[in-house]
Amino acid sequence: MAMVLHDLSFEFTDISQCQRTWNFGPRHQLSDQLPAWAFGGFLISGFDLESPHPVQNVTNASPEQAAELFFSLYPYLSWPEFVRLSHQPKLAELMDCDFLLRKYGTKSDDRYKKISDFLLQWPAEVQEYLSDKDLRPFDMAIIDQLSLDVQKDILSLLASSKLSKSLFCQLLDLSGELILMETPVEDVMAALKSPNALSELREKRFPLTNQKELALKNLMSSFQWPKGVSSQILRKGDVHGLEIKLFVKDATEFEKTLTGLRSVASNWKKKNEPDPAL
Amino acid sequence: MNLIQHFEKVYLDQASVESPVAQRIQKLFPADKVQIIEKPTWPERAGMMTPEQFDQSKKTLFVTPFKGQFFKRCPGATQKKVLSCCNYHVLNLGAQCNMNCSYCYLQSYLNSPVLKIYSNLDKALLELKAMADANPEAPFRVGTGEVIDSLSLDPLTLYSRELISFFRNYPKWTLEFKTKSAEVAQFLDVPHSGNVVVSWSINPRLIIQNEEHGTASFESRMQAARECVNAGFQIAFHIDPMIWHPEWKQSYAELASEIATRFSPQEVNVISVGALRFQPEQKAMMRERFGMKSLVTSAEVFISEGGKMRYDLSLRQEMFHFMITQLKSHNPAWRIFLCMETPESWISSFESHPMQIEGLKDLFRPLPKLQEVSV
Repeated sequence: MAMVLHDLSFEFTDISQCQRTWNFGPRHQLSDQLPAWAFGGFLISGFDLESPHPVQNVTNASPEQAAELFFSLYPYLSWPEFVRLSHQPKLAELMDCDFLLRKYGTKSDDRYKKISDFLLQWPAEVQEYLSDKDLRPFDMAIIDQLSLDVQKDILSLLASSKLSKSLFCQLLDLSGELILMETPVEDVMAALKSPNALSELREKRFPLTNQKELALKNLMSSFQWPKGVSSQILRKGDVHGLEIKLFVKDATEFEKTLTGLRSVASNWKKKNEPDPAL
Repeated sequence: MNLIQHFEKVYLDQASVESPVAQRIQKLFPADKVQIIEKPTWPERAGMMTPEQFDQSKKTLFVTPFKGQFFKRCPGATQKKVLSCCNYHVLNLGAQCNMNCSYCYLQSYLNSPVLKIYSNLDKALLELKAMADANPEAPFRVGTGEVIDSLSLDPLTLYSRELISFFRNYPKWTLEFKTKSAEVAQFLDVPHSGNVVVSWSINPRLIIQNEEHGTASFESRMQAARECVNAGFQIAFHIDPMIWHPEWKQSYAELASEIATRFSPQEVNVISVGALRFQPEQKAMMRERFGMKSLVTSAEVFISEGGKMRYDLSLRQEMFHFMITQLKSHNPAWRIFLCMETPESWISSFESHPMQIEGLKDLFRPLPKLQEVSV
């Protein structure tokens, strides 16, 4: 902070003399802990404070210095917070936003701008969710190909489901692709509301693969499995296969189970062999 | 493709103006399309381009000297833990492509708003000469089609002529041109020592029409290949990427049949087979540029070991097995290998690792590390 403040002049004023129009909705717990600062009479921190309260109002900062000072106050800013900040009126005159964005490790390009423009039109709950999960534009690259109404519907549903970041991204990508593949939006929304949303969407998006996995599942269930053995079809990246778990109480039972498993393997092999009658 | 019409603007780097390629371009293009510049007037981008910027980069030509090292190992060599590598080396004489395949990996690789042709071929040849003189006995295979099509711009550059002549002095080395164009007429008369392979990336007609936009037709590619054979050049086919579609078996069986009826195994150096693969970050760009009706964007692909999106392993194995069986059913003598595939895929398709297959093991035998040379 000391480095940033070097060469800057400021005056103390009361918070009632400052404009709060730049309130970009930073996280409240952070905002509460910050001293009150302003650039040219526009409050940049201490939005929750009431008069009387002193504010340090910077009067001669260059746009780059203002960005440095802002960054020292808010060393972390989520994407929605930054977008809300950077769209404040008159901000560009006082602060270099591209420079500030780079300080946060992001480069402003056309794609970023396009998705950020949409973000401002999404419900506040969606923006809060994106902040909480630290989602960035590249995590939701499909979104700008959907209409704004569809964006809002999907994002509101996903945000209200309190999903992990990874699940959110998978569901968004799958549902977005399905809509672009002309699956009716209602069908996609219905799948998203299901408790098995991920598997339902995958079935729709990957019908061929799903068919193969289903065939394997049916084949496996046609075999007589030894007692104490459970199995399930799993996908690990580009490979699908069978995960087998077994429980045995002693070596004799283990031996018996292995014999049963060998019989399953032998039947499986037979099923894979081409039918000589064909 | 009419290249003079295709390019909307041609920039010549001041440092390149005296180069043969720049001189030739100035003669071929109308003066109002050509501009000589001291340095690029466009910013080099840090991130990925937008679809519009990528499209535009294909129509803007920039002739400039290359300042880095021309000669490199194929990217497959960097993933030896997960892929079987065929010891390919690359010589990049430009970057970006004037054609427009939906699956092209350049969409996630390039970030320059122009198509570059490097004007200092003399430096590339010096580098090659130093390498070849230091390793004259090593059977290196050198390809020019990694980040630019080897031949689609050759009518402008005529680089093929100089490269073919250069490789006459190094008969143990092999030069490979890899293309989806039919631009061969410009080098057919150049004397060579039999170590030049002209290869075509080839797919069924349906895939060419739907996914390989702006490329030469199936017929044109086959015709160009025939002309090369007639001129004594070796040829090769890369059935890569195989793309799944409902009638894929019929399409690829026809492709095998077309190749087998037009050429003999003795005329074809090698046939490589590969399946659709791309970096995950390429998905957004492909979706925006080609929509979801493309067989590539709508493909059922999953993250594979190594990080690329690929078809399910069992489907890949089925596709490879089918293609190999089809080709071998016409003639068992075809030399076939899998490109950028895992040992598991090899074993499933050939019941063998490439090092155990006669006629292929030379390609896959680890080569001595290139002796470093400075030019």
